[in-house]
Amino acid sequence: MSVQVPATETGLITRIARFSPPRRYLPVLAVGMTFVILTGGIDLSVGSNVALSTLIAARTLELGLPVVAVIAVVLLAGTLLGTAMGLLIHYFDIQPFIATLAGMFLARGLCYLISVDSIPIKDETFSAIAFGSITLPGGYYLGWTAVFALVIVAIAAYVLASTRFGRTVYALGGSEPSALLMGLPVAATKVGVYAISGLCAALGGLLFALYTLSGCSLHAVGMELDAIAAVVIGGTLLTGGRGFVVGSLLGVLVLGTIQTFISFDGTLSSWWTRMLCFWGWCLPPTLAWRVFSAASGVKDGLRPPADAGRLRRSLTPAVAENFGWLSGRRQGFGAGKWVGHGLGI
Amino acid sequence: MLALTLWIELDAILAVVIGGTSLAGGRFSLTGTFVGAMLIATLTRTIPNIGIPAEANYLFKALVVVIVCLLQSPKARAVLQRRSDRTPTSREEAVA
Repeated sequence: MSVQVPATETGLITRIARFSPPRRYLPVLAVGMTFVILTGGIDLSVGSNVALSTLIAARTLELGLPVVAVIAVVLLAGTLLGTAMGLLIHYFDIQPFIATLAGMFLARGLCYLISVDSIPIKDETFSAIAFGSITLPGGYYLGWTAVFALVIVAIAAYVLASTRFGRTVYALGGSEPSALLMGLPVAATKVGVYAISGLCAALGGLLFALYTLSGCSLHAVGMELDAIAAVVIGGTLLTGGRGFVVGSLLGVLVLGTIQTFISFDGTLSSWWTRMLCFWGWCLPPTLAWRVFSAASGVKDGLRPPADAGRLRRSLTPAVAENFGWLSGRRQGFGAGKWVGHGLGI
Repeated sequence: MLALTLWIELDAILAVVIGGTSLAGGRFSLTGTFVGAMLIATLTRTIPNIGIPAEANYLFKALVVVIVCLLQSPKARAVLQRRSDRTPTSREEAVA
């Protein structure tokens, strides 16, 4: 069962510039995910949260609520789910992976309680927003939803770079005990990032509802993995403490570009995107790490020495942290080490 | 069929967790996991049998995971412990 996306008549660059139409919600999800991953956590519930948001929106519109109320209800529900997971993670020491996995299934179950079937959205305001666009010089155009996604990215970039909350997020990811000893508001920040992720997922869900003009419990299956992939491609450490939101946007663009090429090829199933994005994600950083280690003459070092080349320091910490195990450079991967010796690096 | 084994990982994790294996590692029970798997199978059959859509199972399983995790969590245990300690003392005070 493959889903073929037909090649459209618009040019390649136009499609990439519109960051691959179906994926406008992804930057918003990636923004929320960046906050969580920066603290060293992970949020697996965003895909289900998106589906739940589309269903809540479709259902409440069907019941005749005004659009503003619908949006408020959706955002509130998503934020509540995120906050609940944050509370479990911070106050009860449940691993983020398990807590958000439970959140993922909880949201999916709630979807099925609302409706097992897909609900269409027939509201005029929703359609108007969905099809609205602004024209850019040169004949390119951006949909309102894409502009909205870019605004969210800009706000998040500002919050992370220049506010107290944003700096605390980085401090938490660097070292939670240190952040605590420094007197930073660890509890509020840790719960806050999951709330933000939930809010972003709800916003992404609204964008998804605008895109498909429907609510369905099978929407956005596996989308959390796309969001995580975008964040990691964007250079954020999975262990937390280092990364930036604009990188995540670039990650989304990389994924979008891969998808665009696959759509244009026309013979491949769209699931190839997932496979290619794995290889685009894991392989080049691993190779880059090897090349840079070889260049700086690291022999048995588990981590690059502090005085290593500036270029490598600026490019490879993410690679080293995320993919060190692939290149066998950590203790416990004896065979990998021997292979490394054999290759002379 | 794509949807046939979709999200079956929750069932697997749930069976292991209900069986008493610590999510933090270091403690496991294979017999417990077997009992956990039986329990999951029972839950899976019960939900549609009492007239709730079978897909809503995800909701109940998620709730069970959260409850089991809370029971395993040392902090949650400490809270419960404190509460059960406090109740008798307050009664004693009331008596006194």
